Amino acid sequence: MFDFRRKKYNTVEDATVAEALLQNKLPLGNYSFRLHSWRNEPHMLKETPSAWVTVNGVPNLNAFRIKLRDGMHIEPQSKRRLSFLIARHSRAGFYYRHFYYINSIRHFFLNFIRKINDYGGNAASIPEDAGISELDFKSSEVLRPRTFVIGAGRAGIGVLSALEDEDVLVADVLPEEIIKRRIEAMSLEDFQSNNLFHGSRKLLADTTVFAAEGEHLFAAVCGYNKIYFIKPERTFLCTGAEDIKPLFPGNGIPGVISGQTLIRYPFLAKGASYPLLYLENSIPLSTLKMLSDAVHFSTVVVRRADDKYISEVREMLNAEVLRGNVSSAFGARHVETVKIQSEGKSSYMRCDLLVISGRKQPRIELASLLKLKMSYSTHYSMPVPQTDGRYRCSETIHACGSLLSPSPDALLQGIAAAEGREEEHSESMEKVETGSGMICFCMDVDAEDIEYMAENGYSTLNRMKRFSGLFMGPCQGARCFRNAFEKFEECTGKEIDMPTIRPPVVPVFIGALALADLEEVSGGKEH
Amino acid sequence: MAKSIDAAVIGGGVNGLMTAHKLLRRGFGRVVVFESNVIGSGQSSRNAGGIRAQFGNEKTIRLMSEAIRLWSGLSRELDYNILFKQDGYIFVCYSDEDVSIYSRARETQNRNGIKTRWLEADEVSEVVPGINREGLVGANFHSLDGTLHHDAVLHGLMFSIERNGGLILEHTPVVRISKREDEFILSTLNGEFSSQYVVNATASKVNELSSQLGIKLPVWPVRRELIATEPLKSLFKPMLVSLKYGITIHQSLRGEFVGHTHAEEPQNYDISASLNFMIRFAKDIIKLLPFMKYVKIVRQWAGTYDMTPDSSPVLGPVGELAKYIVIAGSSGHGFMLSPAVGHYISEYIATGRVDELLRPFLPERFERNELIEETLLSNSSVL
Repeated sequence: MFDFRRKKYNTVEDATVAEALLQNKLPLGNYSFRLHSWRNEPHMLKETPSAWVTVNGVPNLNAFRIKLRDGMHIEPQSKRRLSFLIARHSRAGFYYRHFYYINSIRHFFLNFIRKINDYGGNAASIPEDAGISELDFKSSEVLRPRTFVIGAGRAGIGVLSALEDEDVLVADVLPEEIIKRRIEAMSLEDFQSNNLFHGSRKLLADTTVFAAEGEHLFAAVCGYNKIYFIKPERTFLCTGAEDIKPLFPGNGIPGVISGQTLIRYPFLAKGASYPLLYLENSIPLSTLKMLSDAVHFSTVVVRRADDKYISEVREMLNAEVLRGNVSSAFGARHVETVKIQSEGKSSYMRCDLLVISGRKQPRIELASLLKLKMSYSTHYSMPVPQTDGRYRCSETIHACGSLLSPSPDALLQGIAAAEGREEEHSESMEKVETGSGMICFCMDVDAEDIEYMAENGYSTLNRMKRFSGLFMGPCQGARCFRNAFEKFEECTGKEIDMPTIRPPVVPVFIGALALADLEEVSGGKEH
Repeated sequence: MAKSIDAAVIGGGVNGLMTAHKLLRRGFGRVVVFESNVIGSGQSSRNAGGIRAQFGNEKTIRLMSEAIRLWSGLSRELDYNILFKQDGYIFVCYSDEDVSIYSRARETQNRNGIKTRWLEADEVSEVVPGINREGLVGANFHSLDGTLHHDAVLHGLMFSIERNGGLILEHTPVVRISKREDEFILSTLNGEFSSQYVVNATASKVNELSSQLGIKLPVWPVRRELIATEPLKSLFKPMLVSLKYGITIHQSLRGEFVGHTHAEEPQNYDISASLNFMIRFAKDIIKLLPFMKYVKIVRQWAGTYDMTPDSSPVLGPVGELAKYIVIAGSSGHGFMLSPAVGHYISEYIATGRVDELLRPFLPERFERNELIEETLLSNSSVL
């Protein structure tokens, strides 16, 4: 038994808190500070508030990370309050413009904001000991591999397959079983996978590199509770790109999820009768296979791809494939209908699960923390690390894969990078007009907010960030940079001024950090 | 031909903008702010937004209490909500030996009209639930101290200056400054400007231009870092300071805890965030607020303090150059002092009068050896 909102429910065997809640048809999700909408999407790579719950008094836990145990007390963090009414009709930063003429009213209002702000759990009731094993913080550990590969996606696997080095450490955010499934899906088409982990090679699954100091000291967090300091001689950045949602009205409704999320949490598709797959660009067939393993898509909408790719998709999924785009989604608490524009006509289609893939945002956070030189990518409309033409960014840092350009051949790129071959680049893509819809899912900044700010004197991205909190939520920009940049360019005609990316790349528990060995950190500086 | 202006303000941080804003309100027409990057790109947009009158010395206390008075009227003056909330600063005391430091500071403050109160340990844990009670003796608390949103202040000042006809030139560093007869000539990438009055509000970089006029002030940079956590429901309102654990922390309106701890930091302009600080902070904060071990750090950033030998700002005209005015060396209190600084500096420019509150901070104090003695220090550094 566990309880949710003080009601008792039966424990689900071997399930996470999220799985248990969803199977009991309990809501997961949270309203945001501005309360425009649900922060709905449980996201795989970043600690986003969308799936936050309070468990045994500990707030802001990702429901997907905590295993359900008998006797757990679970509280939702989605309390719809009066501020919803104020906020939904106002633009970003509304509280700057009101209630300040008379001091007493101002104080009343500021306290009101504070009171209604149920953003994340109740700090007053945080216990000394939560009794959640994921939060049993462990002492830090130091690893000194010769080669460090960050990311075990297609590029990382490519690097691994071509390297002869035995002393390699690979870190990836995904759990081991998904990485294995991914390798299986790849091996069919491209190479023999049995040679990846030989010698003293080691895989650190469920691990995110959250900070870097110099080129020879990385800090990573494994699960929620353990810090690793990694001191490699050289590093391959294969951090890839994130699936982000294109801008269209309704892109924030529950049931509109990204491809990567579906791969991570296939059970989200359970019970979906009308799933629809929307590909903004072509994605690797191995990824497509993992998506179709989760749910059978009878309809696929593809925005940009050649005829050959479309017939491959048709054959592989045995589905109807339309050329076009999804232009809006409708539904109050869950997606119900989508509008599709295809061959100059628009039509409505019933849909209870919209999976979006192919719109990518490169994961440049580590490259930025490493202070690598960046250059503007026309593919992504944002800066990516600059290389010497052979995938090298500096003496000891290499970069390859979707981090550099959205090539479907990230695997071949990884192989080329490991062998030090010359880079090949695909042609640049035409720009598509951006639409409206949610941009920042943490702070609830939408496309209209960008327009509003551009018209009201917040003329640079930096000012917009400071005014609205854009890029400053728990995902730290990982899901909004690209959409925000494109919308900004469209509104102002100005070049983007890239906001500084701050550590940590993912939120890290203070309890885990407090057990880290400070000497290992200061020792790393002299390396 | 140099463009003639009434007053040149170098540095578009809060002190530069505040001075320009006050000058415009005093009727100066052509006021130009030169900013090498974008407004607030230095410490002004990197601080925690704390405002307090709880200092250990009379001179700072008096200037700060005037600043607090000005802060509370600034939203209306700018027609822009700066989110100033006066929820107090609470200085918690963890050893019987420190009680005398706290009571001395409190007496000095009370003598100067600051109504700091002593809270017993039980009262402290009512104000700050979850605080470590072990060894807690009590706290100094002043309810009129507070916090504000630094970006809102910068935006409000920017809009106000533009509305009143002032000019802010971003990405326009002053590369050379020289004196010609009664005027200063400023060379920038946007041409030359001539002005009778120059306000150098470049904080830790004050000597870069001053040295061209033969001036060297004892000001040097030190990196400081801040941490923000994920948002939580409002737990406590005041800014919490512990001298023993080196911690300064408060909860923003959005619910994030924003805090700082003392760590060894380099004396240069490096403003990259360090792993060392993040871990130091984690180790220190759980001693003061044990529940924080279950809270996650979301952001960490760094800025530069401009330090002086007595950890107090250098304000006003420099020696014989009566029309070359510096605002520097704020030692971490530049933001909170800015309305008072802007007020008195602009008053000096308009009338030639150095106010009694400003006088102790004149640059000449270093030559006369009239240093300001601050007693509320933690680990021998200023908060």
